[in-house]
Amino acid sequence: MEDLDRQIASVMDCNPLQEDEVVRLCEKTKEILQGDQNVPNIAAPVTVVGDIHGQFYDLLELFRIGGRAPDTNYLFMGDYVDRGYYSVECVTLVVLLKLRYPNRVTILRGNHESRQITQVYGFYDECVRKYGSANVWKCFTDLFDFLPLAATIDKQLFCPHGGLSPSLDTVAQMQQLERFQEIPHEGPICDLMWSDPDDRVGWGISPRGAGYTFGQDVSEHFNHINGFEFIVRAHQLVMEGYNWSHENAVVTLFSAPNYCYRCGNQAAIMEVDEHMHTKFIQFDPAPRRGGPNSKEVTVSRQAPEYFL
Amino acid sequence: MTHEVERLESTSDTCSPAIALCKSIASSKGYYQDPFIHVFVSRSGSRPPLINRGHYARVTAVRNVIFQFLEACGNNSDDSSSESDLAHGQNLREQIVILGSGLDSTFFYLKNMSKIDESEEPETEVDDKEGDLGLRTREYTLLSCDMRNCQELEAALGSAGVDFSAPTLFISECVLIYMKPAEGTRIIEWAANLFPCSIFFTYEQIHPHDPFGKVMAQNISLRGCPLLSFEAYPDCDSQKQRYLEATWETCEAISMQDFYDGLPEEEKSRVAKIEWLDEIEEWKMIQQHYCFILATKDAEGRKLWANLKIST
Repeated sequence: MEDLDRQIASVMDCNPLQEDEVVRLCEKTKEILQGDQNVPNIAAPVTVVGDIHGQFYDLLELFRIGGRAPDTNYLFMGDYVDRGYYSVECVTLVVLLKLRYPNRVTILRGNHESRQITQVYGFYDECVRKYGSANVWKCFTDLFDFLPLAATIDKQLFCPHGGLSPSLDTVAQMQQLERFQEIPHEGPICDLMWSDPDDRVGWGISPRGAGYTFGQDVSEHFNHINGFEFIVRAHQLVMEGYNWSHENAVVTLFSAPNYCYRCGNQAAIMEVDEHMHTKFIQFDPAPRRGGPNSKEVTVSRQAPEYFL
Repeated sequence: MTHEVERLESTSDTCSPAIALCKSIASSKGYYQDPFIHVFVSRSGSRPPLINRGHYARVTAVRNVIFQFLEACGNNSDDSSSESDLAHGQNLREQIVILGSGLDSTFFYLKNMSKIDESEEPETEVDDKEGDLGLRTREYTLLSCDMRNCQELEAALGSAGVDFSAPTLFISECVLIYMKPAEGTRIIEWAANLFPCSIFFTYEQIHPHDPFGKVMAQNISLRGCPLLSFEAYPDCDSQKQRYLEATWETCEAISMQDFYDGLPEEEKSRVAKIEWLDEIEEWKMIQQHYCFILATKDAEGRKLWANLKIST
């Protein structure tokens, strides 16, 4: 415990763990996640978080706004890594919090918690850069296979990273899936990670090349037969940080402000209190802290890409 | 004949190598053929799929205009019958002027495609007087001058053998936007006044006032090359107005998102298979913040540009 508290404090200062510490962290967390259901039910109150994508200083800002674990319970809906400059620190921190407070912190799998995607979008390169080899990347991506696929909150809210699947009508069906594997290119597990709500009714082909788009009819039917009030999901950039769709059958939550240091969007988290009342809190990018020794200053010189 | 004019300013130092690298990466991924771009690049790297696809869209838009221009001028070497159906019965000596070219491979790409059909070996003169950048061959000239001064530009092009009466295509990719509005407009007016039979193609940023545009202005400014004309021409309509007021006879402007959406389905599906793009919202957003503009002038009434289309 003391060891974990020390590691949490160190990572909160943006110091990555040693490689052997990461190895132990991932092994122990696997043991905890092993016994979790594919879709665990968690009790309110809980604060729900969308995509983070390696924006570590914004994650710290999120904790300042939402409260620190374990004072606040958290449900993280995936996409801790890729795109931002601090994937290692972000994923290390949420996994540490899961291990330290297993009953107060839930971490789900997002479509970026995958071997294939992280090799394209930055986490792999960052691990090699920060640790000199791909070992840490391998430990984390092996751990990702153990992450739950979705969660429910007091059996009233359904929380996947992406969305619904034409292969899955009920949560009971989701519990039967064999989840301990890399995210497949197609099928129900892939759909939960990749799908998006859409204005068109029914199921549609996703422009992302994985998962499906689903219409309001699909969302309402799913909520109705499973007894959910609405679906809370992440996965898509929304400029205000949260965005209702399908006449309040679905809400999208995005927790990376000024995504990729380029998009100018606000971020949001959703607080669910013990009476299941929900409240959205929006936030802006963490102010850049200067100073000659600030790690952020060197990073800010890596300007985001445009067509120049 | 292709003429390139490079401005020796900070944009060329900071942007040109970055653009050439991005174009080279996208080419090596298979988005388009550009067999010579690697020669302009001194390092390797990788870029996210969104950036690769965006450079594909940009290069496709430029080439689309170049091919239509050459075809309208009767230079269509793919088609042996073109000689007899030359739209207007004459083989025109067309020229392409690339403004703020940076490290640009367009000439070599076209030459390789036999779109430029001079058969003689080009002569080369390299001028290295006191930091003067220059290279001159029969078909290709590389000039340096301060484009804010149109007299200097005119003299430089004149000395390079540019025929002001010949059909001319001007290409400016993210060039005018780095200049003050009046300076850019002066070039647009100068080209319209001096070249009675010409096309002006521009690719640059729009929408400075929304959150994405504000962050873009800030980030590009941090690179040392602020977008000085971003606010003056904030959308497609104001861009069009700018060219029409500068006496261009026709002008169309579309966002790069509309351009990309208008590409043939089979081409888009080929591109989609090259890399898995998990950045759909961001892709749309960045493409909405770029436009391309096509202005034409045909003072002699030859209707050379009658069939020119802004999208494919």
